[in-house]
Amino acid sequence: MQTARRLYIYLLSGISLGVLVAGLSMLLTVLLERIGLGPSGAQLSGGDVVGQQLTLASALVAVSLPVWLIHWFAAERSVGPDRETASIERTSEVRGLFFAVALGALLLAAGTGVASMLESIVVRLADTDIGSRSIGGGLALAVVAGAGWLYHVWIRSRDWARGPITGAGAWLPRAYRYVAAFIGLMLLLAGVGGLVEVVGRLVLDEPPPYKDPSFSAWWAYPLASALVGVLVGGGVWVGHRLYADRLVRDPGWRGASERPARLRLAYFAAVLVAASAGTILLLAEAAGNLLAVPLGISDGEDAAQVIGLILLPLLSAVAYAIAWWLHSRWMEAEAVSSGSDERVETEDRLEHYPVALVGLAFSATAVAWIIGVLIDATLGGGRALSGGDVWRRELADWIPLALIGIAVWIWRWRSVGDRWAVDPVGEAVSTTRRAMLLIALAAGVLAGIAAAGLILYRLFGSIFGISQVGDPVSELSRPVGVLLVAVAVAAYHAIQLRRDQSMRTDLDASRGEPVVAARINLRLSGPPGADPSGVVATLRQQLPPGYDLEALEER
Amino acid sequence: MSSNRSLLAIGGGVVAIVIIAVVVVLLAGDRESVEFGEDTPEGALQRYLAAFDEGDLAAAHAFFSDGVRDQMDLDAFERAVSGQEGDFGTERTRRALFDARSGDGDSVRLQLTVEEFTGEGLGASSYRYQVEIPMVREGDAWRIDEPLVWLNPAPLEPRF
Repeated sequence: MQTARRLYIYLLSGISLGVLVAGLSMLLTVLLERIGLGPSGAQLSGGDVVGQQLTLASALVAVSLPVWLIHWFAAERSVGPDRETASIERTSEVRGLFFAVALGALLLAAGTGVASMLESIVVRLADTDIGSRSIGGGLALAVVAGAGWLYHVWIRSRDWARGPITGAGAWLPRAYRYVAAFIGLMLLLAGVGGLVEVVGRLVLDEPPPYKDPSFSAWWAYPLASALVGVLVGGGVWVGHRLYADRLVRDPGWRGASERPARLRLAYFAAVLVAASAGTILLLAEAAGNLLAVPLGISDGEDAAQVIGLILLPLLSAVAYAIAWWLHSRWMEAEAVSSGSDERVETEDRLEHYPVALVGLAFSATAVAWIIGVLIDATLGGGRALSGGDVWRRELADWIPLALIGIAVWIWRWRSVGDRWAVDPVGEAVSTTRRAMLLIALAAGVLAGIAAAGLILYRLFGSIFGISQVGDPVSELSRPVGVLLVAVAVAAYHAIQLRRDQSMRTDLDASRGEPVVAARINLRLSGPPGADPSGVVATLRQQLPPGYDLEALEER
Repeated sequence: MSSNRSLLAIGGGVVAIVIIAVVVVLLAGDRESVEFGEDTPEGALQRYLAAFDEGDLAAAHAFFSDGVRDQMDLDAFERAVSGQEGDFGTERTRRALFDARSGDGDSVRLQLTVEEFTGEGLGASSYRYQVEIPMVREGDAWRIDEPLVWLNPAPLEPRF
């Protein structure tokens, strides 16, 4: 009953808040554009668009404001400190979900507004003559959504100040925080890469080949886009990371909830995967452009362009490598300072397994493609006979990726091997290891199925005399390459999994199953602000020999 | 600040913003159209838009270049207008703002920002986009060198 009421209250609050933000930002846009932050062009013709916008915006606000106030008042009243059920309401998963969604949506809207405003400012300053842009629209959205976001951050912080929150009520908003931090970091890295490219091309006086050479301000949009990544993404990442780090250092219940959070570890692992993938790809791009020179297929028309093609991806790769290294160090330092051996072990595995998986993914893909090119070249397939630079281009693209990917995999997999040598059983029972092996096995099996399907389709088509387009060697070369690599990857990881499984079975047999003669389920409840975990710990100390008390669920 | 007081402050603040915005916008009034010279590309386009908005399609059609009129005669233009303008089935309010002119000599391109407001009630929406219109000089006059319906590309009719 209470869950249905909560769903209604928070759903209506969320919808009316969205309409209110839309109406207010439209209203503010009209106001800001009227005082000079709109398109600067002279009016050629037209009707009263501003009046229409004002009417719509006022109507949206007039409808949504009372609805939001009434429903949000009800939501806030239910968590008032004078209410008996305030603690249950404050920690409910529905409220947690509302804050996660509302904070995410408001941050997205505010970020979009800031991005639009920055782009407009840069394009205006560049005087590109590519249409006048409105600064007011972006500014209005940023101000309204930003104010809404700050209000909800304040309310949620007040919720936490009133007592601990556990379960979904805690982890849903936490998921928002780490997802926002991750997306912010990715935007920042993409922005740094874009900035390196724009500045590099300006210094080398080499506009991108796809740009109209007569358009002197070609850099305006790429610069605006890069600045948006750096400023918006950087701001979101730094803000959320600093806030999360402050929570970790908190000596109270917030810190106790945040420090062991798996979502925090998942954030670190996701960054390691993305940053290592970005580093590998950009290094491979630079190496590919270098390899293209002796192969006679470089896209650079002169020395400066060739240097740019090699140097700029290298510089962008540095940003990804720094993010990779920093997060690796931060995760390690946090694990060591936790004082938990288990946390240190988990952290060490997360440093090795996901990155090994990334290296394996790139190297396996590249090797499969190289095998395909070699089959084409050996058997005279369409790519080799086309007379162009197709297979040279493919080799220049895939050989560096294969080499760098395999180097990263060997580097991380050797550390995994060292761990195995020290404690094989500990590794065999590790969830991280099992997940990594299963992901690699699944990817190998799926890729193998897809490749085998293509090969058999071609084979059966020939048997049944169906007319098939394309050169048979070229059509089959890549599926054969993929099939060979997929079988190798799947077989290797299946053997590892089988060995782990055997060790786990032996371990279970040696431990023996615990004998439970009798069991009853109890329900423990307490007043607002109670510490049920502490009470269970106290009760456990009073139990007679052979008895145990276990907390199955905490609410 | 208590929750109730903060909600009252938010409600009051929103109402204040609405009142200020409405008053400022109404006092400032709408932007006046700038009158461009008849012998300029901007002026020719402005007169085309004026004729179109008044429903004088024959006058509007006269602002197209010879090549465009060959490609789309007055009947085809009227069919395109009735087809494209009736597509939405709802009222549209729109305006065109002149941003810049590129090119020189007898062939230039005009960059414009178009603002459109479509629909009615709370389902209405407002959006903005950029268009580029090619203009050519034919004799003493500037003409539009692309088949248009208002400022949007006209649908091409198959020719047999």
